[in-house]
Amino acid sequence: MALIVPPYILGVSVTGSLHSKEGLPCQDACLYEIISDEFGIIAVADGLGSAPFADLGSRLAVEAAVSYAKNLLMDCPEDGLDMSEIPINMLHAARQCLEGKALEEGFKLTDVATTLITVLFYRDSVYAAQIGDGAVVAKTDGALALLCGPSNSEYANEVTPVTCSTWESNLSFAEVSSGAEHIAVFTDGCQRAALLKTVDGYTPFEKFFNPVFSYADEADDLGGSELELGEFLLSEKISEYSEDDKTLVLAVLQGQNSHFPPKDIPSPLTGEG
Amino acid sequence: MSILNEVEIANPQHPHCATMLLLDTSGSMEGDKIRQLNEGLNFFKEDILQDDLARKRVDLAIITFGEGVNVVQNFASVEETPEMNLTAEGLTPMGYALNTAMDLIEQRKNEYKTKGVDYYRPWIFMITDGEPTDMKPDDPMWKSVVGRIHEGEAGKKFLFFAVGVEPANMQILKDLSPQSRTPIKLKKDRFREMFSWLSKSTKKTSASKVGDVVPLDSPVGPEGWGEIETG
Repeated sequence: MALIVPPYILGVSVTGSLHSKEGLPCQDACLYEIISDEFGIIAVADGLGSAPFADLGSRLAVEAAVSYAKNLLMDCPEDGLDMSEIPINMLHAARQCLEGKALEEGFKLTDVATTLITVLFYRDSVYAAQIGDGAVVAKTDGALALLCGPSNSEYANEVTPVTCSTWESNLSFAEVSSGAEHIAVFTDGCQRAALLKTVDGYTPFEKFFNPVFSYADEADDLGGSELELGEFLLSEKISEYSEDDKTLVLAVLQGQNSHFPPKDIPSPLTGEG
Repeated sequence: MSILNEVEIANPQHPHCATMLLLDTSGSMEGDKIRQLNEGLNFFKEDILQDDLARKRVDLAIITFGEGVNVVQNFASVEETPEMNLTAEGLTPMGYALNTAMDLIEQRKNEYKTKGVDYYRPWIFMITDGEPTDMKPDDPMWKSVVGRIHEGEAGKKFLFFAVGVEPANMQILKDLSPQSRTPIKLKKDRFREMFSWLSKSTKKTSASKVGDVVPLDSPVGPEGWGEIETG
């Protein structure tokens, strides 16, 4: 079995049972891309159920965020980049895109309200920004860490979307300077499965992430693996406690402890969920 | 199959939807009113039990105020709610009942937090046909209870709904209620319709995403069970 050489990304968004029953579209969206065999960019969004065009909002947000980072990375030399700024600028690009769309179509910005998580990784370093809920978990030197996560508001999913006027003061940012092996980015539909919740806050659950990251390591066909990941998110085990839409994006990096030496890959891998 | 089968769930718990029913069982509820209240409660219980999600998520507490304040059921699943056969007697110790209700909600939320359970904003649904006999507007108890309700509602600690059954003092209910939520006067003999609305609203809430805004059917209007006094 020929395994894929890192870095690579696989991910999927699935419609939760609540939206399926009501005939509503999936309001989660994800988009990701590997650039120049060394950079990875990921955007994950969850359109707010109360927004009439939530599905459009989440889709436009991930497209604008990824497109911004992709253009920047393809145009700029590596040494001219401040990578820590890129995920936050991806959020800005998404916000601008949604503002433009709302103006163009004559609807309110809140009609396309969505959360957004943006991640950039370069070799074994990771930069993540987040507005709203969902989370980013990284496995670094063998240990799991919650890079960005849901806020500790009383009602778990009271979120500030990127369309909110105070979004900039509510965003969070985190980075891992080296040693990252895996990243998982997910929406709140996966939160109850992936994060332990205690009075002190959230922590990544090893018995969720260890098998999930091993699964990503063993991928030999990204398309097939994504299909299986989608079935997994729709399975009773995962949906029993959350009828919400679910997105899970997994990245396997060229970490220092990775099983694979960094190599040149002839063509970039791209994917859309 | 794949290694994904080995995945375990971090927090295998449903979000909880705490609903507090605060019921006037004073002497004036005697007769048709208490009979309809019991029928309505039993209907509410059966209706929730028929909904797969609400059955797992609704925590119901019932407090009566009449001959004293009784916690008929502290927060528990609807399956554990006994058959209701309340009797009407005594005065209307509404202030003490409201304080007890708000204390139990605080307690329940602390339990949720300790266990890592997500929860929706709790509801207090009060039904009365009179006015409090243990407090009067502007006495210290009144000020403390009203302050707690208004702060609780503004601070998103709970949602407070008051329903008046003829001949309830609607002005008192209005003063107790948060400004944003006018008390509703129950139309004659519409207890069952009111509990049907409550069940439907509770089911809608428990099927929503925590934190979402859930639009409720209007309880007033020609087809509704209640009316709002605008004058």
